[in-house]
Amino acid sequence: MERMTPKDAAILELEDDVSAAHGLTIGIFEGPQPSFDDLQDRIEDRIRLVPRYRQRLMNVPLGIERPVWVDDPNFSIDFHVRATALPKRRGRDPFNAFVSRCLSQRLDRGKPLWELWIVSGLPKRQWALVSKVHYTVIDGVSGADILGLLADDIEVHSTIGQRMPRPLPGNGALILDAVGDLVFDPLESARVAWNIANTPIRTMKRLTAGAQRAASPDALSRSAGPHRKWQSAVVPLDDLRAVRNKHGCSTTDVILAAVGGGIRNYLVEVGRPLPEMITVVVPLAVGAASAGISGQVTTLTAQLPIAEEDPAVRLGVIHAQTSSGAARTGATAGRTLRRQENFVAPSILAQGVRSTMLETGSNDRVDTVAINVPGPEQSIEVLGKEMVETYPVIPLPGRVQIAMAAMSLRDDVYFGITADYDTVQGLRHASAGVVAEVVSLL
Amino acid sequence: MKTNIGLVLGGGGIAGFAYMTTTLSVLQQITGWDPREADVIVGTSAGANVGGLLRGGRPIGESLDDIMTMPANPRSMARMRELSGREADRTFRFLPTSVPMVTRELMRGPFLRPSRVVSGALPNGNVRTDTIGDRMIELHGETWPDRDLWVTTVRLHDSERVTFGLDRSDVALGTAVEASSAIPGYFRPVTIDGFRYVDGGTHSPTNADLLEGRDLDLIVVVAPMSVDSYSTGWMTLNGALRVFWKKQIEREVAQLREWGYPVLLLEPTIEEARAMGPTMMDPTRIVNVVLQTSSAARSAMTASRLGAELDILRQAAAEQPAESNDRSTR
Repeated sequence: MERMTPKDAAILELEDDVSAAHGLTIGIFEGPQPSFDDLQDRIEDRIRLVPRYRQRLMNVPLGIERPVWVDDPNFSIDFHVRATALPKRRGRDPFNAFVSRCLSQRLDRGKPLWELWIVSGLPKRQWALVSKVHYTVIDGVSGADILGLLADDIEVHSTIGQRMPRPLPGNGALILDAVGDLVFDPLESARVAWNIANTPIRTMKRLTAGAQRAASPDALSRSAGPHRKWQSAVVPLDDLRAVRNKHGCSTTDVILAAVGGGIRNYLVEVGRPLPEMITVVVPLAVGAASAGISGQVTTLTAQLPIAEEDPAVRLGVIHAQTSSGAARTGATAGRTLRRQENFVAPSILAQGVRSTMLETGSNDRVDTVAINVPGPEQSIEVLGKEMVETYPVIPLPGRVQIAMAAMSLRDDVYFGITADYDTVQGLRHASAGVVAEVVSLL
Repeated sequence: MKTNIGLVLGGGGIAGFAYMTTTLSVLQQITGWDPREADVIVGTSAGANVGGLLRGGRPIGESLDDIMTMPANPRSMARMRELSGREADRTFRFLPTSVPMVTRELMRGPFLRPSRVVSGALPNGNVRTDTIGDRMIELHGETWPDRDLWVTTVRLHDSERVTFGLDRSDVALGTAVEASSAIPGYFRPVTIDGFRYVDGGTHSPTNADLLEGRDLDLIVVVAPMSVDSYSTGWMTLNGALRVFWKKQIEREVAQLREWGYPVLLLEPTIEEARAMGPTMMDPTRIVNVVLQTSSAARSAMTASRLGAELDILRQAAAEQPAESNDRSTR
């Protein structure tokens, strides 16, 4: 039996009635849709070597140890691969509504924690693949984003990994196994003892954090509900580069400016009070002197001056924060990931979200989250069909009301904007604001 | 006259592997010097793996791409899972790795070598090293590379450092690299000719002293287990271990300089060290380590104090065959 890693267990623990711990990746395709059978075959072929996709979680009785991953004896690909069609309407509204619902719905913890949806009926004869995977699965080692694994040019040319599922362990076996881990592994017993000793402290922190949140009803981090809405925005990569060159800043700066512009436009249009600054957490950011590392996370915390009138000044304030010190290497992440033969960006983005969840779970001064991962510059094909757009869809970590993720594919950057369903009205203003901010900086 | 570069690649597990491939890629981007052109490579543990890949003709940038794109490659993921020990069978882990090694060191009294005592006393490791050897056999077969690659190990029965490729090269490179990677208490020691061998890091995190007497114009030391400042804080396990190793590395580097070699020492900053963490075998840290290192290494290398050493590398880059130069800018 494979026990969950402590990090994965921490992510599982953060999931509650309000905050979900799964994310979506959208791929939009053009032309004739492949048959459902072909798609299922492709998935079965690809998940052979990724055991997590056939495994489910099992809790240890009395919670004496972290849950274990066990083979799901009832695994059936039909449960996980699902087809749906959208009502005929102009525009992307029905699709966005589908994505919102898909994101709001929890994954069943009694089954392997993933779904793949094939969505037909998008305008202009387009169709979409939407993968939904729990963040405990996408650690990049035992599991990866399923959409990234479907691309045509991945080699899977061996029969290893094919084995019969082991039967589900009973309660006795689970307890024996947990006791075995505690007794045979000195490190493990130390870790569990530390965890037990630390529980009262963590509970206190959580309670006080809740009290502080309630004190500021206007803030963007006011407690959210369990439902989500989702909008998208597209910005040409050339525009981002033009802004970057004109203002002498990094791509990350421009993306942050766009995020700030989106939130500003939303607040102005719906008449909510405009705070002087909002705090944004950017995972996977490197190079800035203000970058702090808490725990295991490489994150950047920046202030977005959304009350400022002039977009160029807004960008300048962001740039000053990310570029102080000797290192001015905002594009480093891009350079490091430039050569992508495979569609790995969703899995890397997921690692950033995992970090952010662990970070914002205990930090209530965060107003929003923005994450940006450069994607492939060449085309990605699934079953011979070219992916024309891709959107990252992230959950709302902690209690923030709006979070944004951006991922590039070929010549465009695709923004996915997630918001709380009940407290955020008029999210389209945010997506319009993202595009407008970049245009105003050109 | 040809510019000869010695390359010392230290230990550091999966995190160290990510650190070294990133640092060497950045070094190549800045100076143009292809690490495959090193006159001699001294590899310890993770460094032996990087050295084996370089001597097998893999450009360093490709090795970096491989670990970063792992989540889109089920086979690399499977390999990494095995190394991370997630699927290792639980075994009885109370018996120390080597009682003779501990007692022998204790008998040395005040001259005992702490890392040998700890390594010998740690419960025997249970993770198999096979995937490490398989990767090397894919590249090298059963032969030893033509150009010098020294793979450091420690033989448990007499606590001696044995350097494959220097002391002896009658075993397959794959086996030697497996032995060099066998971190005590984590991996199962590797048996060669009836004797058990463990990680060369048990002797020293870099083993740079092996280069004594070699005709070299510059020695590049990449030390993932070190840290560039003593102010890491002793309070954390990560900080305390790194400060301990740093002292040992600095002694070796001082010795090299005393012998008259210019040395380029590349060690993680505090931020990189934190990204790597104390558990060197956690693959979920790779992305963080690579991102952190690619930025920190760039700013460290563009700082003026390394100018003279980098110029020697630029000189070496100008002499290297055109093929390497083509690939240096990816």
